[in-house]
Amino acid sequence: MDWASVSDAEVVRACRAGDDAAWRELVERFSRYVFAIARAHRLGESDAEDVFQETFARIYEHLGRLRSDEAVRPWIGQLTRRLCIDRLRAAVRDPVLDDAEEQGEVDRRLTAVDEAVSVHEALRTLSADCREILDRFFCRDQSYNTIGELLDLPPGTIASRISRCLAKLRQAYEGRSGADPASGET
Amino acid sequence: MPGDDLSALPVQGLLDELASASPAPAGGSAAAVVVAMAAALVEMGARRSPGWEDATGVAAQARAIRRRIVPLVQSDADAYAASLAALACIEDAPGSGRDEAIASALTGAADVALAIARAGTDTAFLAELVADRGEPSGRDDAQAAAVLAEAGTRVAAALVTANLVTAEGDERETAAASFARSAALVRSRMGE
Repeated sequence: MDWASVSDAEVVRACRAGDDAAWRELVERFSRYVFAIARAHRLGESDAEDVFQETFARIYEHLGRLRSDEAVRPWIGQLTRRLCIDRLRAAVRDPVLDDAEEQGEVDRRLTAVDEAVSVHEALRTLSADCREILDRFFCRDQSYNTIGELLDLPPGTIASRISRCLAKLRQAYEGRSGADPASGET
Repeated sequence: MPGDDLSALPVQGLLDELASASPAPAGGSAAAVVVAMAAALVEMGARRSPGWEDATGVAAQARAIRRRIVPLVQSDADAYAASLAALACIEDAPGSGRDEAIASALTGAADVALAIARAGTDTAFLAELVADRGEPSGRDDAQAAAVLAEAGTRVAAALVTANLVTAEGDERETAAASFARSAALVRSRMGE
């Protein structure tokens, strides 16, 4: 099965139906997200590993209680944040949580993580050609000349093609980022 | 002004730094600023073309190029100052392997200049798109952007050549020359 074209909600439904491959996909799809949230809370490697394990254990246990399959990502995000905070509280009183400014920084990082994950998920819905051209220009900093030579296209065409792919990405992003975290349940 | 951030200076402050007797910042930093200005003009032209379906994407690309090149204003000054310092040390103590040592000192400056040339060429391509498909009222600014982008690219390409003078056959020199030709070709297609 090509999971790249399967939505989060469909993966959740397949998990609930007992599909082992769907569970593997769920872990694969959200593992970076969970780790990124743990890092944003400045957890050490060992604590982050523990939060990762516990998060997916709880997902396994409580997935049936999720009210909206479409809200699985915000639900996982909320669950991970709670576990991170529990972990910090369990340690010797951590000044990070006592300092409003530091907490604001954590919140900003979490917002950035959420946005990055939404973009990443939206990217998965694009064609391989679009993903490649966006990756080459925005991530690898390749020039239009270089990309044009690789794809056998005139450099001037590359910029237009990137624009079309960005439009598709935006459409996919806006379609995915409207989920309300409050619609989930732990 | 190596070590600080030239790109954070007001225009007058940056010009004062360029005009000072200090060898850095110099032509490479100026080229980076010129290309960044060209990218900003392209972004403006795209933003002012709401009826063009690619406008948002072109604006995003111009913004990405601008963000990529702004740090190079300082990077070029740092690399140039570092290469001058290294050359001074080398000249004080000539000996075996001197050419290799000089090449090593200059190669960092060549890398920064090549990045400026690359961004300049890409900006020229975007300027052409804006001139062709954006709002007609923005064509003059798009042409200005292409002229600036070409100028910055040519300056940067010349600096790549100058910094690689001891490294015969270095592919960066070929790449820089190719960027300069592309930028000139695009600008000539757009007319004066």
